[in-house]
Amino acid sequence: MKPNLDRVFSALADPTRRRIVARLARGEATVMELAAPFKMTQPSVSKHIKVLERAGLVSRSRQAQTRPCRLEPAALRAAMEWTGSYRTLWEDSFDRLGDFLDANSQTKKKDGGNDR
Amino acid sequence: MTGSKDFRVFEVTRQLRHPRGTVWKAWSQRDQIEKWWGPKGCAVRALRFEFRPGGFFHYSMDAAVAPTMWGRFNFLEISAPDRIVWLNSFANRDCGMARAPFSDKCPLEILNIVTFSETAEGTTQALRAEPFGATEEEMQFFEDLCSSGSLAQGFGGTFDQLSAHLNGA
Repeated sequence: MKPNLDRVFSALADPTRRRIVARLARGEATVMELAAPFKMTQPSVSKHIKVLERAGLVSRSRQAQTRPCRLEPAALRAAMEWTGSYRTLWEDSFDRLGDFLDANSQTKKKDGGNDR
Repeated sequence: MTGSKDFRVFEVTRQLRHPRGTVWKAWSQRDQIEKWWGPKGCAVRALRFEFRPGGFFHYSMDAAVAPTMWGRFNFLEISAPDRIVWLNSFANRDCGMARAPFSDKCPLEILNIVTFSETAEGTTQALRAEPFGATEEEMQFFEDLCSSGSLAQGFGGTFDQLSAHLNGA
């Protein structure tokens, strides 16, 4: 499933949900385990987890009774790709432009041409 | 640094070891620009390329894990061989202007000016970009986007941990 970036970003806009995500980055956890450090009730943690699930950030096991939560890396990767700065966008593009021009002039030299 | 006027205009300069005419071709030819322009990890494909004032470069961006996105350059001024001016924005699949997929606070259009000057070693390429017709809120967003930490900073240290997790995953 391709992640919906709007949902990913709005899910991550909430500090509690970011802390849940950070906790899950260390490994799977049940709702009870996730609720403990937040001094929150299980139903309110469950609500946050539902938002994270809908964003594709978290999935829940269907196997165990406790249905542990785990992180889904794909949605996070997509989000992180889009948090690069405008500078990164251009620096990366200029890097590729330089490589492209280098490769192009190599080819031309091989063909006996000259790009100057 | 936040609140500094400096971030409202974004500038980046690059020295290229190639003659200006070669650099110009890399910007002005469809099969060349799609090979280097775009966000890292995205395959960019030109859907429309009209290199003239008023023309559009409409492109799709495909990353492995994200849905297809589109963007466009609307060329305003083309002065071979040393200057190109265009408005850059996200787009829909039909080349209509669109909001950024990651935020509705991102300025709709960015005005870009690139200039090429000849040097002994090749070409100096200088890009200057600033939001075009942006609201104060959008200007603020652009500032954040241009400051070094970018959006990731807004998410605190979480993203560092996530990077570590993803690299290990």
